[in-house]
Amino acid sequence: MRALNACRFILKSILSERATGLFIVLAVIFLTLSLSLSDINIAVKYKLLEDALLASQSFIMTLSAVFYAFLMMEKERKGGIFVFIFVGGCNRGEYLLSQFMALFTLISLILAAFLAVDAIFLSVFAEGINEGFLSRLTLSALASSLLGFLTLTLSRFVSNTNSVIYAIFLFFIGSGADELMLYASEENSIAAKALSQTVYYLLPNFSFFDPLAITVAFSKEFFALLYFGLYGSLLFFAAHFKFKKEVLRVG
Amino acid sequence: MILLGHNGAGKSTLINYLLGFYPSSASHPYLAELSKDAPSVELSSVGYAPEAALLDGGLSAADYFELLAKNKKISVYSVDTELSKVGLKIDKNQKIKKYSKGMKQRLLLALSLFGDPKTVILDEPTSGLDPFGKEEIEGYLLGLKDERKFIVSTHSLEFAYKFESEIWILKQGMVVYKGRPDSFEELQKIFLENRPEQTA
Repeated sequence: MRALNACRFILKSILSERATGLFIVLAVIFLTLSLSLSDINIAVKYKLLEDALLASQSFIMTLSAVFYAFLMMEKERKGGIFVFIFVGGCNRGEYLLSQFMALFTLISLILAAFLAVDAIFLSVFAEGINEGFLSRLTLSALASSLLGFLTLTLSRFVSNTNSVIYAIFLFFIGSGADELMLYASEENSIAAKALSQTVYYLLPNFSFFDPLAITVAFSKEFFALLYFGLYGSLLFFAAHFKFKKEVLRVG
Repeated sequence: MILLGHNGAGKSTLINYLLGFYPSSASHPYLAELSKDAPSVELSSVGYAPEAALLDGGLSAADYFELLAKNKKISVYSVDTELSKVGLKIDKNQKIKKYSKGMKQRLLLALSLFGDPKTVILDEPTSGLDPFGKEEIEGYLLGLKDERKFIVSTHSLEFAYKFESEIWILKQGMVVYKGRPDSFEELQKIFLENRPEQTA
């Protein structure tokens, strides 16, 4: 319960930032650009409209996840947001959980806003929103949330800025994990196979959230959700392990 | 209790230790000694006012009271009443970034007293205030001093003496004086005797 209260407090603090408004403006600009740069008739004819929406919105969600995770850590380390949360009775685990929940809520809010816009837009210019589109955008939101969790966890071990750099680096590696695995399986190098398997199984594998990636045979959505839950929990426990030994200070 | 000492003497370290911001006494070189002297504090019944810079300018007084009320399980309260206790007559939903420094200090005091905590910890409550604001806050605190247990860190010897509480003087992570001097001059003398060693 206290984690929920803290989550709400963090959300209020984040949403009061001007940057949140800037993201909305950015989303509108991307949407407008992706539509104005393409011929709407051709886009409708070749079903490119969905791809343009998916690409731009996935990009914004990815950017938002890293940005909000960074902002949360800045508010903790430079703004001391934890002080009143702790004095209010929260313990370290509850506070950390509230950060993860706040990040997931923010990405979910962005996803909901995008889905609402897309539903209207695709109803006007295409045949409406379909299950495939819904699934791809949701998977992208899950990948973005996991990236945000990764940034939050890494920031417990390194500085806030470095956590962003490492998280983006791991995101790119993780997004190509399936292709690396495929490439290594065609090579006769043991080292290449070992490396690809390490990347595929140990590092956060973002290719599981890509509908076009070569992953598992059974339900991709279910697997991605399961992976998100398991890897997200793993990141939370890693962050908690480090956080419980951390000195809380501001500045 | 009043904590006095030069900058870096360990006043804030001791306060942060009491609040549980240090996971153990091994987390800071000063804590090996300070933790032996540290008073026991019931964390579930503590009110705390940190420095004013820690208030989020994008939030309002109502947001802070809501957080504390929910965590302390206080269901019936009025933000306006709580604010009026420290002489603040403002819109509770006004963003803190529009507050003056004195208003922020008053809000911090109101937050630290909210829920009737057994112990109130104040870290330099008059820091950065002009003489008028300082006098106002100190006067308010002096009026409250008998109501509950206070732990206040300050640089003001005058205020420390007027507070009529036990005074601790810290020097480079050690408690070098505990007691209640008979006069303000005596306090000044003890304090100046414990000037930190100059380092190059």
